[in-house]
Amino acid sequence: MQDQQMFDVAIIGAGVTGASVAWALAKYNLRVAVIEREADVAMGTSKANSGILHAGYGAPTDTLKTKYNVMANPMFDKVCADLKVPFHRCGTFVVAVRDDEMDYLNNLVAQAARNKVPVELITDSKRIHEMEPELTKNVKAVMYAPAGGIVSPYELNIRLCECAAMNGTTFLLESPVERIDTHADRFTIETAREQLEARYLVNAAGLYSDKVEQMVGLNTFTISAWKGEYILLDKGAISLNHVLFPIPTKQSKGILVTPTTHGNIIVGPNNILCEDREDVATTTSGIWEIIEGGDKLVPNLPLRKVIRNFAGLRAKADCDDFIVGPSKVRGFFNAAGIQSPGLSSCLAIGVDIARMLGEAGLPLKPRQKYRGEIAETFRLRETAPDKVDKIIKQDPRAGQVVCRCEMVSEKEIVEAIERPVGARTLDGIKMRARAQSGRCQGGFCTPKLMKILARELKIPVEQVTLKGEGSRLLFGRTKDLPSEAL
Amino acid sequence: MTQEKVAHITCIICPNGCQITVSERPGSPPQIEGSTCKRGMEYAGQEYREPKRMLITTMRVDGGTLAVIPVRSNKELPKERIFEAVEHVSHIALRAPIKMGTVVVPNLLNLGVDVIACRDIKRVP
Amino acid sequence: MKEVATDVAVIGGGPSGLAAALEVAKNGVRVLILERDFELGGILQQCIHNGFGLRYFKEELTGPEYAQRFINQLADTNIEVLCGTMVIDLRPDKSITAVNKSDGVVMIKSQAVVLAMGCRERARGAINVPGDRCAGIFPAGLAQRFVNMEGYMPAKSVVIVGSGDIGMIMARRLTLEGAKVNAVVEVLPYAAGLIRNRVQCLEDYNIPLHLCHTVTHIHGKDRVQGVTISQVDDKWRPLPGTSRYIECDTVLFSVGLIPENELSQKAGVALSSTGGPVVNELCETSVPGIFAAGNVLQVHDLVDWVTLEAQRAGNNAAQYVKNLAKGATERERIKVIPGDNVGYVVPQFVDHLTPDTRIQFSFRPKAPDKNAQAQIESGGSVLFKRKHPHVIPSEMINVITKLDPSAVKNKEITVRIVPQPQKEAR
Repeated sequence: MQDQQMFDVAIIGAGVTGASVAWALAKYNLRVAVIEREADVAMGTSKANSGILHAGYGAPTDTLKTKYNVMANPMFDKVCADLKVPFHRCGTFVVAVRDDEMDYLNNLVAQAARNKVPVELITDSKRIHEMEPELTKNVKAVMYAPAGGIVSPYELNIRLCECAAMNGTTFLLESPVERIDTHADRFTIETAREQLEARYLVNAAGLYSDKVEQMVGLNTFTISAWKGEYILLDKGAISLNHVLFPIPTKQSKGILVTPTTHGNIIVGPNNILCEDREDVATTTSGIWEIIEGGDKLVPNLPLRKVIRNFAGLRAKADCDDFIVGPSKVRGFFNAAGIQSPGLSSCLAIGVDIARMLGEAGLPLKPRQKYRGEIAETFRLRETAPDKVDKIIKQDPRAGQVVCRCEMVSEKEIVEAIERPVGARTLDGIKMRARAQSGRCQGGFCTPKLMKILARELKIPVEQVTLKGEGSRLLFGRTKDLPSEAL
Repeated sequence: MTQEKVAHITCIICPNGCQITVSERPGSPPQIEGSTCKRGMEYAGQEYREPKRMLITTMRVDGGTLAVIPVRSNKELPKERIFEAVEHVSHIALRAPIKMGTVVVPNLLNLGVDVIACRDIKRVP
Repeated sequence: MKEVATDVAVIGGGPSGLAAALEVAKNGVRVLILERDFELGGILQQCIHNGFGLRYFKEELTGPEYAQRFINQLADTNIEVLCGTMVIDLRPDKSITAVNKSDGVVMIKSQAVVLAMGCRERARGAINVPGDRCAGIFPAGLAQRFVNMEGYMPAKSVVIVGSGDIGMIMARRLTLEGAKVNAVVEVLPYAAGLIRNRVQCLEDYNIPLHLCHTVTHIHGKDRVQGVTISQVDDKWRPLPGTSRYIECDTVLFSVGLIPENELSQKAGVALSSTGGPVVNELCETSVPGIFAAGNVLQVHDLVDWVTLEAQRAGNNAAQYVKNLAKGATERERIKVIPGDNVGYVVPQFVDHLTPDTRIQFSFRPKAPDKNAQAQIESGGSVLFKRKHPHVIPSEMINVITKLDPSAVKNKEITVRIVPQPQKEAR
């Protein structure tokens, strides 16, 4: 069925960048569509990164990386509070452990000053260890940036999309873009599932943003994919107060150790060029590189508390900076090459793209009844017993604990499915409701989650997937059992 | 030329796990070598002559709190009939409620062996 | 909120919780079982293979039958049971917060607690297996639940990592249900589980067992497509040039069990290196009145020993309640130390040693051995010895013995496994 819908803006890519553009546009009276190739939002780089809000000292002053990082950083408090995104402005340390690293650290301090990012160079070892007791005793000095912090990257991505959806944005999932026809005043976009038209097109297609640009006849940049591997430690493994960076090398910000907003510890990433833009496998050498790197900063890392390893691919443009703004094609805007500090910059990129679209002729009339806040979500593990009791009396599913490790109730699983741009897959439930994120990594809760998904989506249990088509867990029933959702 | 049959059997009687060789020429009793105890020799002989196994599987239950019920044979049956036995009971559906010990498939494949339920299954109200 | 008072609260309704509760009831003491699943029986309900009860019932039963025997005994008692109920908090004063659909929040006040929460499986990520994170990677117990209780097939062609009993049993189970098990991969130079399982689960079905091998990569985009395995050295490091690819759509991990002690920690119970609580010979933890038994205390291989341990814990919990009026007795704190070739010992302390006390020591060898002798020694004298023709880490050794208190020196006893002394020349 050829459904020719007409939109003011179509955004290709539902990672944090595309989500931020959609969120920024949602407060205006516009018809906006977000086109995403995967079965859910946040399925690419946006869910496989360090989850850091950078302070903004890390890139040279006259780059878009610095411009947008510094612009976005102060926005996080209000946005995360409004959208109920876990966020903690805990501060970051860059740690020098050798005398020959001091030059670099001092240069970084100078760059911070040029970027107008407040930092403090601390050399008093006693004070450093009061602030961060588990940091290596070999520390020579740290550069402390109080504006740095941690944020849940996929929850930010998801909530930005939910806010957009609440305000009328259409999300087209499992819709890889196959063809774009450029007309004088609009674009016709053909995806694997539908066809739509839009007056303006925002390219936030991450690892494939160069391919999307080529579809409108442009060839101004090339994307290379750089893999970053991580290990994840259980909650309570070790107590850390700040994001810990080593001295950066030419290739990467180095192997960092950081707490997450949920109380886990992440160690990583390395930085390896990948020919295959779909290769998110972790490797033996990568995991060892990460463990060694982590050991340099936190010698007592309890490795027997590791529960998972994962990897993400950074989309690096050949100019090594963000590419944000209009192109030679009328109405076609790029938000591409969003490597680090992409997460830290996304809110500002979204707002600035909206501004640029306005300058290009898109009418930015405020939306009536714009809803910019998301209501608090019930979380059993964060609710006091007397309140839990009341909620169970209204909704018994709040008393059915499904995920033992993270203490998640059936009510929360159903909520994760029912919300705008809700979960359709096990990964989708994990990102929204946290079930499967704990020590047992879904060993206990998976059958229960699958039955709930099957019931709510009205599909047989065998059709439930991990992350979209091709990733079913089950092949069928045994013993001539009927294929029906329980 | 004499036809000799040779079987290699790992004994399971004790953690030694002796590797036993049973060889048989037509007209002579089987020779059992490699075991270090009498129980092992007896096991190897039985395993050579007529290897037997318990059938343990699940069967479909309709109207119960679980979709399948664990069942087992009340005696061992010939090892070479096991796959056939599993396949046979795969197509039989039981109905809840069921009590542990109930014979759910009498005289399986005419082998003189019954299949019994290994637990209670309640009916879904 | 529902408020429940009882004398002994048992957290977990599997074999450990059931045995403990029945023993408490035998003592005429009130007891409540809190079970998170919709029915009692715990992990036994999915262990449909046989080999259970050989010691305890002198019969060979399947897991569900073993559980049903205990469940059936409840009818003749006043034991209270709350199923579908998850304990979400346990405090040092033994008060318990639980939730379920019908009662809402349940606050339980009890005089004593028996921890019987069992254990969880070690996941793929915990042993740092690299590769993709696609569908088709399961802990063996999850596949077991799908097949044996839910009636679903999670696999068509399988590679199983780990030759412990769970891994080998799933190899047979999946084969009987129509899957093809392409290999079992084991990092040790010997199969980790029982010989019987190696024969009846692997050899019977011609399933290759690759010893001294590990999985070094899982391949697959949306669903598993195959694994790379490599031979390893004695430090479990992959040897270059030995890798090979095995096609499969499923990888099962059977790489160890971890006692599930999050609640124990909330109660301030001290944990040992085994992952379970530190206990004395009464199965009492560092918090007086909180007892532990079964897989939550130490991972068992035979449920029969779980029953005995849980009965001891239940009996002592009941005695604790009965003796509350008398006040706390002083704990002797005789330390039990793992010696030669012993990985750990439970209990870690003996607190009330009399000439008539029968104490059960549970331990495992660090390495397999033949013609060995298990010994309990103190201050240079051997207090107990017993022959063991074979010892292997996957088989727990249980010694039940009295000890002469006067022979215990420096409040320390050591449990060790040594070579059987040669007979003296005549």
